[in-house]
Amino acid sequence: MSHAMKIAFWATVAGQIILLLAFIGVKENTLRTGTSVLLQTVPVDPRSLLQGDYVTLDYEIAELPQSLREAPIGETVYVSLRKTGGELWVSQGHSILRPEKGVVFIKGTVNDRGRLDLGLGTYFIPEGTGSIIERAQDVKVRASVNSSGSAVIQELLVDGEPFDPNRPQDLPLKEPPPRPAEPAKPPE
Amino acid sequence: MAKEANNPVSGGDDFLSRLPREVSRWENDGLISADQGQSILGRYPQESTAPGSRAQSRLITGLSVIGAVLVGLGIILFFAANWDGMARSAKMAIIIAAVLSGHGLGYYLRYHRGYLRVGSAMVLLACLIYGAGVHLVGQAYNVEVNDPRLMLFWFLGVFPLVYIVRSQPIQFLGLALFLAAVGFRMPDWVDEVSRGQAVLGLSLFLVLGLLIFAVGRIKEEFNLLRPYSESFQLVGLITALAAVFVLTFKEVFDSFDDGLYIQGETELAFRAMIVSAGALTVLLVLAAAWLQRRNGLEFALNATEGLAIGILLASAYVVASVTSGGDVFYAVVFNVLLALTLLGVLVSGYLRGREALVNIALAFIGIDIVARYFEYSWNLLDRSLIFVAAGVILLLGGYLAERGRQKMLERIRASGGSFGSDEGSVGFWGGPGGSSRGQR
Repeated sequence: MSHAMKIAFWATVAGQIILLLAFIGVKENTLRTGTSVLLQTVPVDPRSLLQGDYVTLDYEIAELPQSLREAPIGETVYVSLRKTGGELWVSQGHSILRPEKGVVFIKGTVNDRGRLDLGLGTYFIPEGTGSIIERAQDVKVRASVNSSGSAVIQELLVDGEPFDPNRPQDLPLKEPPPRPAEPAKPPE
Repeated sequence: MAKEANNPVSGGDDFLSRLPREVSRWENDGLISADQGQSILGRYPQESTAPGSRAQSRLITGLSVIGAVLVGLGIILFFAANWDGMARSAKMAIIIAAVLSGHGLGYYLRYHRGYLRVGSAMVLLACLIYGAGVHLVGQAYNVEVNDPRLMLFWFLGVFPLVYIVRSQPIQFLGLALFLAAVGFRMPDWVDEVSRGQAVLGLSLFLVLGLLIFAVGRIKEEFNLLRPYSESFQLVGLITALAAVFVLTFKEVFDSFDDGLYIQGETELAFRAMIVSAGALTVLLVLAAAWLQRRNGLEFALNATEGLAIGILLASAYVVASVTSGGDVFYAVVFNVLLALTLLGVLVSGYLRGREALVNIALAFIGIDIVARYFEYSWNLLDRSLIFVAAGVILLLGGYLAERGRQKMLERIRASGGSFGSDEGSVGFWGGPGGSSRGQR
């Protein structure tokens, strides 16, 4: 192996490590510096061949308003968020224009089902624990959102408590925590 | 004895296993250039050794690669079970340490100890662990499960090694990751709701298969690139044939009544991608034919191959562009195209003396016969009769195919048919000689 090829070999190995670290760095940065928001979600329970069990999450804020129903697949849509009386954050409006500075927003893309992919659609769980979430009556996600609208899931709240894979699966279901009253939406 | 010492090939596998290490030393000592080193290695392909050592080499390669894949699969499954008992930072540290250790051990075994095959298998394992690491990071941060960036990162991290480590298993992994990265990106380009996605995906993979094949074909014309030719041609050919095979089913074209399946600007980008990949393919095939213009048979074969590739590319563009028409018509056209292509591959394999082409063509012919049989008899005959008749057809077909294949391969071997392999692994094309181009 020539000297140049040796350098190329180790440069590629370094490239692999840098790619992994960059991937980790971007996500960690969002988790550490982003705004924490609590979002209402609806889970289902499939499995990934490469990564194991996970829940697929859909969000109330992923529903497009009438004015954007015809938006093409792949179109970027910004969802401005506002905090309700409780901890929950809800949509203040959807727009294809980036919200002003100071507004907390999540960036999504229109998917083939006419809803938004927010980058928060997957939550990985230990093998065989999916039924805990299936039996839950209320599932919320606490996510960290950075200033460019990218979000990373911090934790999954099942019936008001952080997801616990060791929670007995045959326990009677708890009453879900009361949902905060929905304040009137400002006109879009 | 002295005569044997002067004839390196007679030294057998021992000599061949030491040669790359020696060449590397000569390069480091400045005795020869990197190009000269590659040329020397190209003169002594593994395939030219005695049959016994070839079988041994294949066994070592097979065991090493299977071992690497099993360990890699085990690691992926371990991560897949969600390693929740460990902190995120510890997981990341372990995966990075595993990638570095795998590459380090592979490098040491391959380039310092001269264990080419086991060393390559360790590098392959490190590449699999790296892929597992990318998916683990995705899992740890709950990245969307079908996020196309995961496969893209895996592909980008591995592909340079295709050219740095001359090992066919790594070349196959790199090409498979390229196709997987494109496959995971497809839903972003095409409307998932429409079943037309299948037709569009198949047309794209047909074009990409032909492009990979053409890249492999042009590499064969250059000494330095020849070690990377075989895997490209093999993967490209199988991808293209598989795409055409699936397009022979009329059910694939049912979606043509649904109307447009690509939206707005994406449609233009998708078509531009197919056209540019097709144009590049044609250019490469023409260049390969031109480089062989003094060799009558090879030129004729390349020109015919170019024509066949052109027809297949045109068919891929038509199905990607036309959104109406009879499903039966398209199915008939692709059945004819597949039959002609397989016949062409069979003839090309025979005339060029490449066992692998003959084997691939025969395998696809067998699969196609079984598929057509079940497709047309399922609703016509009694189920039990279908299976009995299918068994008889398979046994008879197997006997005839084996007899024809044996005769063809005997003729190929008698004429010194060939295809080279790389230094670190055994070629998949088969044939007793080294590179036919190298011998010319």
